[in-house]
Amino acid sequence: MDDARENDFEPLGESRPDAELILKRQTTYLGDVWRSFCKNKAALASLFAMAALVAFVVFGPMMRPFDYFSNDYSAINMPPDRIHWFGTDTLGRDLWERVWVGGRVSLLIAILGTIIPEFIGVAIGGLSGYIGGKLDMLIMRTVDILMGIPSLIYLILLMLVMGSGNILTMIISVSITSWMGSARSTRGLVLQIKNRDFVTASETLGASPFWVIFRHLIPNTMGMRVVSITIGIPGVIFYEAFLSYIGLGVTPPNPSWGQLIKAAAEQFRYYPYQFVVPCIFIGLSMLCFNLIGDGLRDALDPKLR
Amino acid sequence: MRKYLAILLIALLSATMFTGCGSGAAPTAAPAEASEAAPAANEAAPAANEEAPAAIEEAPAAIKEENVFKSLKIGIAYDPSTLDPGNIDIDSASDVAIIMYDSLLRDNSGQAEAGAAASWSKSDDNTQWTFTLRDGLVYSDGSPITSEDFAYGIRRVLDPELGFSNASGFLFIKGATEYYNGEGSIDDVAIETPDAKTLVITYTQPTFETEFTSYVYTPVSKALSEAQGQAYGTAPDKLLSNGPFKLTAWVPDASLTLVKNESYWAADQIKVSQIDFVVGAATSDTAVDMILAGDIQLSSFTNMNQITALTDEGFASKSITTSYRCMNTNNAGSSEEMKPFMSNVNFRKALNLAINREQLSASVLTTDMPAYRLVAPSEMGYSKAFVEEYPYQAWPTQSSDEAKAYLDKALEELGKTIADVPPLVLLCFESESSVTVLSAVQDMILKNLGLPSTISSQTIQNMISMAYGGQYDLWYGGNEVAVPDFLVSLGFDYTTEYHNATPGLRGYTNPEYDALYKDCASQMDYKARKDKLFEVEKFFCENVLNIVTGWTSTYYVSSPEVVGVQFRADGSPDYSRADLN
Amino acid sequence: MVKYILKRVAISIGTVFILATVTFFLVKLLPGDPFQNPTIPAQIQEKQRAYYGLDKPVAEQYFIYMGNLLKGDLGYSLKKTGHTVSDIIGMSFPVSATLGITSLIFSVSIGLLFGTLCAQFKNKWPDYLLMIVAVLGIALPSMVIGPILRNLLGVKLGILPATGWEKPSSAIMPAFVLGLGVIAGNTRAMRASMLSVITQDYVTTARAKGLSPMQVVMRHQFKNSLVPILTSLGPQIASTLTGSFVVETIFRIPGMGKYFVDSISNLDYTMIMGLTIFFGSFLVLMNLLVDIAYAFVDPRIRFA
Repeated sequence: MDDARENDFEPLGESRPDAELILKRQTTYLGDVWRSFCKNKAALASLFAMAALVAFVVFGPMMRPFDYFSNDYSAINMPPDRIHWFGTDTLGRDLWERVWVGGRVSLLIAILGTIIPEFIGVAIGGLSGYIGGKLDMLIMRTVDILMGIPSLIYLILLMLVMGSGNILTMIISVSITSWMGSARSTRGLVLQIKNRDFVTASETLGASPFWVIFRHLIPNTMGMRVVSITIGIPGVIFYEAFLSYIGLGVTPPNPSWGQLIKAAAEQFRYYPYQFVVPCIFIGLSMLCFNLIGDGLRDALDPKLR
Repeated sequence: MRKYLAILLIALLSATMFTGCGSGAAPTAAPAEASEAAPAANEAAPAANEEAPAAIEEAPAAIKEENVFKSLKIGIAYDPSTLDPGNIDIDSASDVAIIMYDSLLRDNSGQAEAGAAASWSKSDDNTQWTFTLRDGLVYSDGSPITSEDFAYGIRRVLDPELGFSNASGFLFIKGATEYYNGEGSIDDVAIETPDAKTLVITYTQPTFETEFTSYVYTPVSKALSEAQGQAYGTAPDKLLSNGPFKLTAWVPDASLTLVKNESYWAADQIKVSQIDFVVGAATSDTAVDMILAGDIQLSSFTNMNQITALTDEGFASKSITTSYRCMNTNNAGSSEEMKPFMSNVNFRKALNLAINREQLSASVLTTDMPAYRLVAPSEMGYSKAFVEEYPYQAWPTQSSDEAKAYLDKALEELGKTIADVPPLVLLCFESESSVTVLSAVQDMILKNLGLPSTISSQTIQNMISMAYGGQYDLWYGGNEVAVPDFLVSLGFDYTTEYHNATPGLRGYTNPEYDALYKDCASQMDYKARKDKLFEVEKFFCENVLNIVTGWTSTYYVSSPEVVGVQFRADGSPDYSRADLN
Repeated sequence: MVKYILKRVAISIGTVFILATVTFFLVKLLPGDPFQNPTIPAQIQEKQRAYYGLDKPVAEQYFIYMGNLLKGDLGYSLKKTGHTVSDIIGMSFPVSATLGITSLIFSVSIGLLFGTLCAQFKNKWPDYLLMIVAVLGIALPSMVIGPILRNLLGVKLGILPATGWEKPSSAIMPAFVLGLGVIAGNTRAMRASMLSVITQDYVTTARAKGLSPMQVVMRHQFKNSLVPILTSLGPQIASTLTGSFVVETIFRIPGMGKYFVDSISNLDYTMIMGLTIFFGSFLVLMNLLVDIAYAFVDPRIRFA
């Protein structure tokens, strides 16, 4: 037994001073998010695809010598060929130009017109759900009333007040008519979460309602919100086409993807390419937004970290 | 000789057997009969001579007695909300009304002839009309019709408390306007019924036969109308009609079913037993698919692609000019800054000449004929087409280089430059095709004149409200082909009187034009009226009161077996004499 | 619970009443006049306005309308002459509702199924495949899929009625087209919701306890994922049941969809009011049912 003690054990020596050093680089919250995001290959690929799309939307029109509004009656309804890369429409306007110029309007309105109402809805819904009681009742009934009034009425009245034709008007009108859905949804989620232990703990520690709402409750609803945003974007694109018709959208001949689709859908049987081309880009943007949204949600959601 | 007679007899006997039973048994029977008949025929030849003609007569009679049920399915665009003759205001409703209601006179392919009235006479100045109704006129349920029913039909529409939309034609009856405005009594309105078969109406201005072919001159049952009130005409049991067909079923927004009215005075001319009108089945891709699937046999279209898709598959088509396509001008301009320009004749001429009508027809208005004057080639003059009796080329169908010259002249007259011209406001309805047409016009005005413009597309009532408010320079729209001519069309009414009633709508008053207009309207003679009409047309075109871009045709596409569809003077279809081969 | 429901019902009725009032005055602010018509002389337009009571002061019109409303009278439509608003809604709603329910059953069940599968196979090929299929559903608008299907199945192959609402099989194509756009939304929402549930401790506990995967999914994950879906289901039901303008036009279905759009374009005041009150009541009812359902599905809310 004495032999074992002497031979089997060796003195370790002083503990190394750097044994407890953190060797990994310090990272911020956003850095962490980016790192998780990059692990999702599909999301990353989509981000690059969207960047390419945006590049085309900005620089595409310069690649060809045509403009988006001049009519050319010698080249009506031509399918894509070497001169008109995407073909021409009923008035002989070059579709390559119209698709990219239209993309500027559509993407801008779609992105802003989805994010802004989400913010409004989440703030109001979160507040309503957390505070509860009479305020909740009042806000939710107001939301009911606002959802009940046909949105077309607001839109026409907004047009009277703001004048029509510019992008700002469109973004405001889209925002005003669509924040209600996310308000209700957020309120539902908040109701679910607000009695959880971590919320009670936070309140006990003295957190103000705003801290609780914005630091705890809302990040936990992130998953659903990001999904809503990514689903909502193509809806806004089509909604914008509808708005153009009642005079609240971009005035013709300015194109937008929604308008191009609507015009082409009526002639789909006879000139399918006029529809297929903008549709591919809408579909592509949607796919990319969805994948990016997934990646973001996976990276942001506290429960999945 | 006898041999030939025998063969003839055998053939006829075989024929009667075929029609009689229509089965395969006949061929085997014939040879047997032939061998028997031949020896008999040899002896009975003289008798056969007499028998043969009788046999020939029997065969057709046998075919006639068989009652073939023919039904026709027609597509219409909208559901007629009501079939009350006083309130019918859309094409789909009038298509149905034309075969349901029998009016005083009938429009037979553009010519007025006896209808419910067997004969008629008029005073020398064409203001007093006397109609003698046929004997035995009844509603589809058998109850009798008297002249009082016709009189009631007119008086109810003039009732100031009831708000019927088709009162306008009746306001020309003597005493009607006063009654309508609450200043007179119903008895002062000049409609008399001296006896059960006579109707006398007196007008304040000359009227022509074409007026009485309209379905508003149809009898209405006072008892039923008062019982139903506002709901009269909205269901088969809420109306009573007297025309070739009667309404038996109406599924709202889906279909209307009409069956032949056996008590119609010309029932023998009606070949089809049932007509179904299918709602939502016209001028659309849906309608194309329905015709291809055989769900309907006839419908109307205004898009050349759709029409070609069907004619390529073997369907028949007929085109009828139904309306004028116009860029209605607001001669007072959309704003104070615009006013001096739009009220200048040369400026308007410049706009008129800048529009290339042929390009419009080649690209987006594919069923339009490019216009070169106001009156359409399909309109009747006194004895032939108006355009043949009064040839006239008001402007070229392509755009003209003279456009710029007129613009310069206008600017010189006003002492302004091109930069002073505010953007033109182009107003239209919110449909895809309207916006495309205005995009084309916008481009033409920009390229040919260098003038900018903005397109304002609105919902229908908003558009009308802006039009009434004069908030447009060019308003894209169509005006229906009117009967007897464009003088009665509100779309081309540029008189001071109309301007005062609807300020802002046209922005135009000109005593010279008023004088020409009144002169034409007061002509008693049909030929004199047409002569004066030409004067009005020339003034209209030279002063560019309105920019007519084309004459629109509606194409009626049908299965080849459908025949007998007639078209009235205003281009609307009359299906009552249709037949299926 | 009963007191809660009664209180909610009373508030719902109040909500609808306020909705009606707000809409009434907003609608009067809209530009234009329903009887302005360039093909009808001005004096006739005057008579029509008087006939429908539009020449009275707005406040008086409001009280007359509300008085009639309390008696259950929604008035006559201004544009669909001779028909009462209740009649029109009464005839077209059942059609839209039938179509809507068929479509919802289809889209909600497929959406929930796809969503569950996506979550279970996260980031593997079924996830991507189902997501692409769902995305296609939104990217291809009904105004193109509808006519293509109608032409293919109704005309060329003739296996389904191309248009109309005469046979029960008429509902198949329109319900499918109507449901397509909704599937994607339900799929993604279910996926996201279930993913946030999957990582919960109680799921791990359930697995540790030895429950089969199927039991874990159905008994725990599924039910708990449903709450967010329920919230959106209320308005979804309301809007699907009240008809889709595009699908009803393409397939010639005599439903309510077109009235929503047309009545505002045409300024048919009585119709707009009737539809708003109807839709508003429906929406409020759906929300009430959803709130009650919340309490049943998620015990945590019951005791909030």
